[in-house]
Amino acid sequence: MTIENFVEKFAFAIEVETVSLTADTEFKALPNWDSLNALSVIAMADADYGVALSGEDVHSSTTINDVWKIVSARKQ
Amino acid sequence: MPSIDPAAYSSESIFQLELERIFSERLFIGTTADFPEVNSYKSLRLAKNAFTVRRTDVGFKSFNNVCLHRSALIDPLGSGQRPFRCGYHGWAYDNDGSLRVAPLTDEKCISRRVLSEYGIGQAGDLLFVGLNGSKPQLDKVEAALNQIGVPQAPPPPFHTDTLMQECNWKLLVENNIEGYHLSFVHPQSFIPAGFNTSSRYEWDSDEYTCWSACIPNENTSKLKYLQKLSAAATHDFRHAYVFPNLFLTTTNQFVGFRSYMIPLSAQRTILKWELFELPALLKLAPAVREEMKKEAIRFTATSLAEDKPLVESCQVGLSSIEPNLQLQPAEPRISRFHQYYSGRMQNV
Ligand code: FES
Ligand SMILES: [Fe+2]
Repeated sequence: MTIENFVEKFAFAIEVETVSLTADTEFKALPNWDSLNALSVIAMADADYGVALSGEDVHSSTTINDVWKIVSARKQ
Repeated sequence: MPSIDPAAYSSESIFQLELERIFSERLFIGTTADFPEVNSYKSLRLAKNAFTVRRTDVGFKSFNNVCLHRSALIDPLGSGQRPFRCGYHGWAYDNDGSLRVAPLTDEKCISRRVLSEYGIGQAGDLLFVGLNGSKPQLDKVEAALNQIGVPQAPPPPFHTDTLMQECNWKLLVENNIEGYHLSFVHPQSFIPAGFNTSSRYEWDSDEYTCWSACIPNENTSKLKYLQKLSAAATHDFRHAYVFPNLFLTTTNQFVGFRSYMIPLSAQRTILKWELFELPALLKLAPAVREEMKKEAIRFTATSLAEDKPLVESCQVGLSSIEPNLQLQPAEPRISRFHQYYSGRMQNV
């Protein structure tokens, strides 16, 4: 359960190359970011971490690390 | 291409004819979920018709809702659950519309004892009234619903809403049954969801139903994202219209939308709408389901708000001294609608 791992899963969820993302990526500024991407991230948190994210959690986060903080806190 | 006379969008006398010839034959009024228990009712007005639909111990019934005593509405406008009894002086009615109890009255002073009864028809969970007294014809409804993937008994809606539209009901039909306007009108709803004017638009029709599928082109397709959420997902916007007042849509096989019009006058129409979950959505993880429902409410409210100024401006234009109506090949369902409408208006 590392941030690197999470970034990888995040990239897979929204169908971009892993190398194009880091923990500091401001994901909502990505060129094709949309509400469907937010759903994909919520689905990934559920399937891979057993964590229920809300749309609000995703919308209020700026970087991938912000989302990771919520996921890792809820995982414990 | 031939089309309806522009006068038919603002003339009150044509509207009266529509009520007699079209709306009295088949009027969608709600689903069985709107009537959870015996004595659940929905009391409506369609122009000068005041009628109520009730769930009784012998099934769904519809009656004229004007009290035989001094014409109060027996069931107040709206919906709820109450015995079939007038609130003014307590005259109570049986489930066949006959007067059961009239407190402190003299039999000699009561000549009319039975309310007019209207026809009721059910297709799946959808309820229709025949205000002309006959059972509405519904034999084509199920097939139209199958075309767009609406199940026979969908779950109760997760959102319901009402929108007042300052326009003729036919303008709402026409707006609903073409995809030509998508790129111009829907920057916050259809376009970001991948649907636009150049999306593929397939359609077909039966006697009084028609349906379509709007399928994004390769460059706006989000199918791979959607199928990651569920293998049952599609990327399409499917639409069915049941003449004269019911619309159903399905989006990506996740979200169902049901909406119906109650015309108040030639230039004013109430649009009621609700959203329900389709089987593929019910199977998603709760967090994903919740967010998709929220997004569906936002999408629908936004797209209706985007359409509203345009349909209302058509109302102004069609009521002006120089109205125009030149249908294009890109609007085949509208032509079909005009054809069917004209036929119904002639056949008395
Ligand atoms: S008006 Fe209904 S009981 Fe008097
Ligand atoms: Fe529209």
